[in-house]
Amino acid sequence: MASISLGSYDNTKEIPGQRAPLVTGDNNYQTVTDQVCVLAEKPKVPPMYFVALGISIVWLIILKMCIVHLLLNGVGVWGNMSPVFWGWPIVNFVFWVGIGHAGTLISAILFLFRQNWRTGINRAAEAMTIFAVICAGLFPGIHIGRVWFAYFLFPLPNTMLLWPQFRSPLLWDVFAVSTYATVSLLFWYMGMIPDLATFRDRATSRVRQIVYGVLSLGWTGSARAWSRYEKAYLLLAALATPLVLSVHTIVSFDFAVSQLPGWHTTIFPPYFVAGAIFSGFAMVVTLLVPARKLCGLEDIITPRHLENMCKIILATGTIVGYAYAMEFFIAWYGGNPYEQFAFVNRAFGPYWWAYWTMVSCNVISPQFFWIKWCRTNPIFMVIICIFVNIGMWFERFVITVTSLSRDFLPSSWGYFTPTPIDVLMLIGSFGLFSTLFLLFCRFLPVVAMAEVKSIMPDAQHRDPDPKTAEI
Amino acid sequence: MSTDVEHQTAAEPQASPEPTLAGYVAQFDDVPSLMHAAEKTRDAGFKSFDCYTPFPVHGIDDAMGVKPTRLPFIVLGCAAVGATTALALQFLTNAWDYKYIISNKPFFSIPADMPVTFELTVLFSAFGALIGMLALNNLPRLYNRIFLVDPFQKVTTNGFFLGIESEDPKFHEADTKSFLTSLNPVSVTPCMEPHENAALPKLLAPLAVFLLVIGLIPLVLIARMRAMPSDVPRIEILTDMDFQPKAKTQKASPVFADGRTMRPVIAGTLARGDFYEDVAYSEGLQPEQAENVDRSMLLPNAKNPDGTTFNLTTVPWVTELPVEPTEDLMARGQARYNIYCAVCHGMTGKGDGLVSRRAMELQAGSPGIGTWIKPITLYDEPIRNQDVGQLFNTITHGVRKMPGYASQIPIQDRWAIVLYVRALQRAGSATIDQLPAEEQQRLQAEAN
Repeated sequence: MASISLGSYDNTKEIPGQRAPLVTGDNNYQTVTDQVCVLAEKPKVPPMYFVALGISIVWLIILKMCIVHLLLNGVGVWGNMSPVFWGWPIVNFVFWVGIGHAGTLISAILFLFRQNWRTGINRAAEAMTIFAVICAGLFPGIHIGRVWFAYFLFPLPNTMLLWPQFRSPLLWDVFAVSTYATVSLLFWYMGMIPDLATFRDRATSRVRQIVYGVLSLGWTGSARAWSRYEKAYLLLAALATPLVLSVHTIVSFDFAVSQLPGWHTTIFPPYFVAGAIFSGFAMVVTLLVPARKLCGLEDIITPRHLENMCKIILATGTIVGYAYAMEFFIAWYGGNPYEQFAFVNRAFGPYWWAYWTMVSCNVISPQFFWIKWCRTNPIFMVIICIFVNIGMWFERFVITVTSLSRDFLPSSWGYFTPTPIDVLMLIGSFGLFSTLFLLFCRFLPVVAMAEVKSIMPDAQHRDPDPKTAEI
Repeated sequence: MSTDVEHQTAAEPQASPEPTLAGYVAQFDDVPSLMHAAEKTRDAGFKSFDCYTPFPVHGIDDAMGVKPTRLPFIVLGCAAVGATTALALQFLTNAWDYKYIISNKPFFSIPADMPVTFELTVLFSAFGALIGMLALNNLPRLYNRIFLVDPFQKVTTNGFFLGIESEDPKFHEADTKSFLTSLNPVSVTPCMEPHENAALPKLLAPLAVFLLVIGLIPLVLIARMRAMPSDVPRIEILTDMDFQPKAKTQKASPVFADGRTMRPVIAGTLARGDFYEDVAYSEGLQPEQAENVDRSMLLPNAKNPDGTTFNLTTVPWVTELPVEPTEDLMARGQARYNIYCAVCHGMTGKGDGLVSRRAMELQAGSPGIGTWIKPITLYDEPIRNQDVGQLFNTITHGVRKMPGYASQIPIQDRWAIVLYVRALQRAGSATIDQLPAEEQQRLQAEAN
């Protein structure tokens, strides 16, 4: 069947028929399936997998211990103190929600734009979204102090017959993030149904047959079912696209709807969304470069995929740099002395180190991707993407902490210092994230096999001339 | 191949245990040959047939003659339900049941309700898309007889199949098989419908009841524990600051020799701020006679030993203000009066304040229920004749229904109010000839 060799294809060619194929190597439907299933079916998993899982679980346990410590002693174990009541937990929340955005962007927006290269990476990116949103939801959840009263956030009449206040951006956040998590989960699961059926059909043990049989809901691959499935997928993509934009917009409202200098700006929604996509793609690259090695997916997640993501990182990173410049410009042009002070204070005040870390990681480091070598060398791109993630974490830190620590009244200024618990919890949340991701690699289809097959050359009934056919 | 197996066996419970033919499945090599076969089958007039592919093949629904799905309308309906739910939720909670007053903002405003409305619309639509898709496809199903066809496992890897069901009116065992063979498939396999006894195992119902009962026991125990009195204190997993290490009123304390938590005042001491040397200023009493006054008699509704109400006018009150009556003090007194007194006594002291008027109104609606007494007009003869000391005492301790205001109004302000009350009395009881000459002339001119 379909077998392609890389030959003289060139990724940068703009003529569609001469671009590098999305699945390289001598692959057909059977070998693609075999490659994707290998980590989930292999009786002997590479030892590197267990090393990675072990490290992740250690950090997960540290996170759990920190949470128990927090619950027993109260939120005073964090560095949050007057005037910075929004410290690291909120920074971590916004950071993780942002990470989640690339997954839905790849699945939904690139799907609507008919960007076929998304098929190799969308499953892993969606999984990343789910796990990042879990990490994000953790922080406001424990930030409320008495976690057992978290249900007060939901519109339930409590014992005082009091309802949540629907004009508060914090409540919008509850709806936005929980809707985002739910819709991403549905999208992820629906996309997986045909691939879970593949797992079911290939299963050799009774347990796997039953588990994947139940999860795949009796999928037969019927053309009538595929037709409805594709319509549902299209509709979900169309729904998820504005949802991606709305979630971080609403997260930015938490800041923008307040009156604090440095927060009360209309640039926040687009700027937050661009930053979220920026950090999300950086995280996808950081995860997929090792994952494609670990799972042996070099033929499916090709340098072309990675290069395309680097281009998006370059574009969104430049948007973020523009937003930084525009914030300064508007602070000056707006003529508000508090606003002007807030921005001068960000760059040259007590948190100058955080500001310049942010600028160098977010604005300068993605500019390397103008050079072709930088966006085709996996090791180098992972290093840049780690810098981008550090920078985007610092961006949230700078926004949250600098504005709060020095607002209108010099008499109420303060300096925020994190505690070791703050630091351990941030690293611990990475442990939670990577544990979930590694389990996903082991037990679920890492690549959307059905979608990858559908973009292979023989898959669709098209023009028989391969020179003009779109690949 | 998509009819429900339960449905068939329910219709004919006496079915033979032998499997019957449910259709034929033909396997093809690749997409073009399957597409071609689908067109042929459609043109041959078959309705109950389906193609099976490892990925969505575009254009095959046209080749098969499949109509467009109505899923978009289901999703649109869900979106409408989601938007309505969100708006109703926000209206009912924040504009009707519990109104949040925030900076005079409207209780129900569409712009502020938009984010939640948008989110719930998307949420409901997404569920509609997934559940609608599954429902239209008759999923989820844990069993499908087509899985029993031997090469069918390849369908999710690289198999392309076309199946025709026996329930199709055009189906004929031999003809259909030869028709499928004429399409040049790799193989044609019969799909058999196994018939087994579909009745539930006899033990299942009693087992289910037994498990249900077992499962209910913990709930019943919890319900009983919650409803019954108990000798042991409840288990507090999270105390939520219910218990705090602090000294409480009337509790014993091991710290002091007498075991009391509440400490009596040490003899010869006064609490800070409680001592004023000048009784005329602090209590409104004549300094030389104050020693003989029984202070408990100054409280409202004090009774003589014989049960009659104590007559406050007999107390040696000061008759002159113990403070300097200045313009500023008068203005202060007016402001304090308007804050604290005017709600009942009215701005002019006529006893027609808003609280009083509302209370009278309520009482008029339900006679015999209220106990509100209209405050006496401040420039009535008995009040006008009271000494300033007694007025001061009334503000301090209250009288009849009126509570004492000592904790709210500092001494200096109480005297300011007394001064202003005197002004009101003067204004309220004045006659026309006490006015200045030009005022008299102005009134005369107005009367004419």
